[in-house]
Amino acid sequence: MSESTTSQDIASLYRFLAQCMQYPDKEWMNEEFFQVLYNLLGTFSAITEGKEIKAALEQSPDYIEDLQIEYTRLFINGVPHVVAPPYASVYMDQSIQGAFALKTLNFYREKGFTMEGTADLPDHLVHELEFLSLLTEEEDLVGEEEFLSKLFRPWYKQFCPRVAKETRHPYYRMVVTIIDSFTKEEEEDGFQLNEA
Amino acid sequence: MQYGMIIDLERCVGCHACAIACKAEWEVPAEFGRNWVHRLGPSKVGKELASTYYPGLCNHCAKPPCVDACPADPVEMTFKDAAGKTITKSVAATWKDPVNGTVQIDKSRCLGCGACAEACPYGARYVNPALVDDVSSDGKADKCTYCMPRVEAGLVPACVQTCITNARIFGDLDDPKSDVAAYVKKGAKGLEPKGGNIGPNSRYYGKKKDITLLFQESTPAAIADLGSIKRRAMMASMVKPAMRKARDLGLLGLAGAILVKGLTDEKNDK
Repeated sequence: MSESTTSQDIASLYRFLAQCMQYPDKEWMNEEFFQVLYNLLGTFSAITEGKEIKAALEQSPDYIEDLQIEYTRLFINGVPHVVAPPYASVYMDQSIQGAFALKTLNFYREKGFTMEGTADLPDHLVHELEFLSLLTEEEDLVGEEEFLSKLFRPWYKQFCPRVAKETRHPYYRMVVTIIDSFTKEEEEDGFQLNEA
Repeated sequence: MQYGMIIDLERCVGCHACAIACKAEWEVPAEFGRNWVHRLGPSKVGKELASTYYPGLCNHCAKPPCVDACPADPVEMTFKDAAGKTITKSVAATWKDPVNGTVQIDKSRCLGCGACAEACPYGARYVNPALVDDVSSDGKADKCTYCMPRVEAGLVPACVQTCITNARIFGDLDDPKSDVAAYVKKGAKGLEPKGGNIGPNSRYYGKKKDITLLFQESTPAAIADLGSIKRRAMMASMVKPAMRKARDLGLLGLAGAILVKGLTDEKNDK
């Protein structure tokens, strides 16, 4: 067994959470993916929530389609409006691709990263988690902390409760909650997913 | 009842026999220690020259910060005192025994996350990578148990038995007739962290200048706040097995192709 460092462990979790927030596709969102997710929830004392997700998947004839519909409704194109656009600018500038998105892109650049042509806007949740994963992989924990406090938490703490409250699928409620617990600052605090 | 240990620095000769006996008794890997002996000085203390030792071990604190740090699922555990009276309480994988006051670990439930080791201001815990099972492939937390298995069998702790000068004295601090209580009355003191109030139960006695030197050199820094970086480290370490599985399944590479290192494509695209 090769020993991973703490930063690599943190990087892996960011990477996994980024994956969880990608558009659902049976390529990756399969039985094995959910096993890993249940396992993770179990470790965080959220076995009940894991069971809830499992039940939701089992009672559906096509769970991928369910999740795709929910993903679209929450994050892409809902009627009458998108529930929770996953872009920082929407919360910080009240517009898409505002100044906050540019600030985010500049931070990526400062750290030596750039966006591929196929990428979504820089302030998309998945890219931000990905970026955090890359930073921690490089053991830049100071950069991680700075990015979290200046560019991630300010919008994520508005985004997360919206999703948690409005979603019709336990999967998204749990994923945004894990991301929330993982990225929280001390003053917000609360380690356990289930506040006893 | 509160077990405690006195270390009489007037007797200690710094021979390390206690540390070796402990390693032998509990199969502690060479690079770790449940107890240790550090040489202090010679240094000037006031107008005198002081030279002593810091034989350290778990303090089985009154309010152990390591216990609060354990993220394992709690279970109900029943403790029985000598009179047969029982106390049931909810404990994680490490706890303070309400009967004898020692701090113990249930290795079978330990997740190997190392949060307790991080929380201990004395560095009295470590994660033994040799101890793996289905619950943790990263090892198990380990520490001084005040040799409870030996004590329950009517023996004294291994370090106490082996000490060539009887510098280590073990007993019940709550029993006013005990040797350890007598030492406390004479002024034996624990190494309380700066600004802390956790009540260490391993205490030190010796010449004033030696005790001054010990407290100057070995008082732990203020108890570390479980900062957000540490908390992330703890969460990430807890889910290590799940993430290892995710990596094996190729689930950790998919999201990665979008942000790339180096300022290359940006300008060419335009």
